[in-house]
Amino acid sequence: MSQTDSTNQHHLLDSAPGEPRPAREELLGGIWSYIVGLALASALTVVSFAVASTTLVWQPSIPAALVVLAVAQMGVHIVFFLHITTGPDHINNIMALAYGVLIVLLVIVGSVWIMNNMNQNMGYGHLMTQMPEGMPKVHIVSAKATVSAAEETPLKAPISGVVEAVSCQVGLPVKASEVCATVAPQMNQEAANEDRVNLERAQSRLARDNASLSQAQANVDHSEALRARRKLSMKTLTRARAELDAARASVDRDEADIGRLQAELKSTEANIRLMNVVSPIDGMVLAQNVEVGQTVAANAEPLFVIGAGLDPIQIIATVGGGESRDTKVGDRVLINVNALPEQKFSGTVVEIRPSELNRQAGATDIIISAPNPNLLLKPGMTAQVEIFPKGVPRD
Amino acid sequence: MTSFEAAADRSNPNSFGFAPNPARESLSHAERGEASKRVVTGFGFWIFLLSDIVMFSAFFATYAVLFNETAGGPAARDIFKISSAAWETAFLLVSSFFCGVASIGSRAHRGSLFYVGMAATFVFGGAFLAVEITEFADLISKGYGPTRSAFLSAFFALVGCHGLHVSVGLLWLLTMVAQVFAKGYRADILRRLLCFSLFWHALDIIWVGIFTVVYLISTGR
Repeated sequence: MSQTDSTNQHHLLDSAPGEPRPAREELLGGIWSYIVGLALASALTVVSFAVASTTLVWQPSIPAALVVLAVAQMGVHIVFFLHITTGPDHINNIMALAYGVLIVLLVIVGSVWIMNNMNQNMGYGHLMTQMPEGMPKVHIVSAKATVSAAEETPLKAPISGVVEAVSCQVGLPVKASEVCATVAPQMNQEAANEDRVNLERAQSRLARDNASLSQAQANVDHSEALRARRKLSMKTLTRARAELDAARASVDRDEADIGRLQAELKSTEANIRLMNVVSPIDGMVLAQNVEVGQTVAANAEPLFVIGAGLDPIQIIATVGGGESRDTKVGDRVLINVNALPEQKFSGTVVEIRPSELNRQAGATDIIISAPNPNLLLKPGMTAQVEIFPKGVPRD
Repeated sequence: MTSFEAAADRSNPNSFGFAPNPARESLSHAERGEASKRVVTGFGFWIFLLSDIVMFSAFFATYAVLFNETAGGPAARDIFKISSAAWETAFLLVSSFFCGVASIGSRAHRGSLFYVGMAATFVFGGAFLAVEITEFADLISKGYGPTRSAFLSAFFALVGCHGLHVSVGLLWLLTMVAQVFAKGYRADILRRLLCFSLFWHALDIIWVGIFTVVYLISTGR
């Protein structure tokens, strides 16, 4: 490409009206630059998402790595998509960009810095270190606690039978009207089969009687025709009519039988449908006392225990008498669950009451409510809680 | 000349790795005469975009400051789904790519490239918005709306503001397609298209910040 060509082409991208359109090669080249940008940006995005969920590296380094990857990706966007480069036509753009970046950094870094500083100077740390002598010291209550469901519903078998299937598992959520287990009631099943056989018999009897009814009807019609021409005795006609009446009566009886048998079968089948053990509420299976093949009795031992009120879930911390004197409803709580050491949960004190278990010891139950949208906190888990008092006690 | 050479064309000032032209460089900045209208328009819109980004930085700062103010409500790791953020990121990135394809199509007066590119931009931008609206609706239906805590207010303000920009961008996209359809590839319309594509790419840049700060860093251990 000669020098003149390249100078001409230089102007194409900022062409004024009337200047020639870009050549085909340039068109393709432009697309190629977008493809390179798309590939780089995709690669950086994939790396970002991979880094965010990896456990291979030192965890505190991950946010820094993510920020670096984000800045790199913004660079890729600026160069390959926005086409802001270091070319001479872009001096103004670059200057503006540099100024923009300066302001963005001032706003973000400055806000975070100042607000963190204020939190440190005005938060609990300040109270604990600089409280005047003589005032009661506010301290963080630390206690063992148990996660528990607000409401526990036992799920019993509605009828005696053999457990055919179990579909609920401990620790998994259930929905209201979800089937947790199926109990096969053998006696009712047999009764239903018997009813079905009886019904079939009655139906075939009805068919037979209908046939004789139509025959009797035909006989009466024929006899009446003959009688009209005086070719048949009145006696024979009367007999034919009596036969017709008898046939009608037996059809009516058969129909009544069928109606009764259908009702019977329906009620037996309704009994069978009751054999599903259905959860009455949304919640989580806390306990399961039943296996497939086991024989269960009606309304005896619960087959399952369903816990409800899991989001927010309640956590009960029991502390000694004086420990809870600074704790107030609304205090913030940090929860470390023993089973999930890598996750931190937070909650709020919702109730403080004398402990039901250790009433003599003067212990107090602190009821904490914690959001639990993913149901990670499960009833029965043990936890260590730290309760942060809001401020200096009023008294 | 292969397409790659075209991309790396040293004479194209918009290419990565542009080498200064000695003849041109010998002139001082002021001696080169008035810049073309396209350059001036692009610069002006670039200033607007930077001011928009400065506004977003205030929302980012707010989010960072209020991140822990959950008021007993859910924290970031409790409610954000990485998968939906990944879909949104993919949709917006592909949409940005097709926006670039459309802008090349418009400069080359290639209707096929322009209309297909704009349609794909619209479809993927719309898909992004659909995922975001679903996510918002899901959070609000669980009671985790913007009124639940300062943290959620900051989240909805930041991500919602970006979503609003995307919605406006989609409307702008439609009007640009209509303008090209009705009036053709006039120079003034091409300048508006340049502004639109700058806007759309800038939204993707802001989204990079959002998915990094809001979704990846916030939900980390």
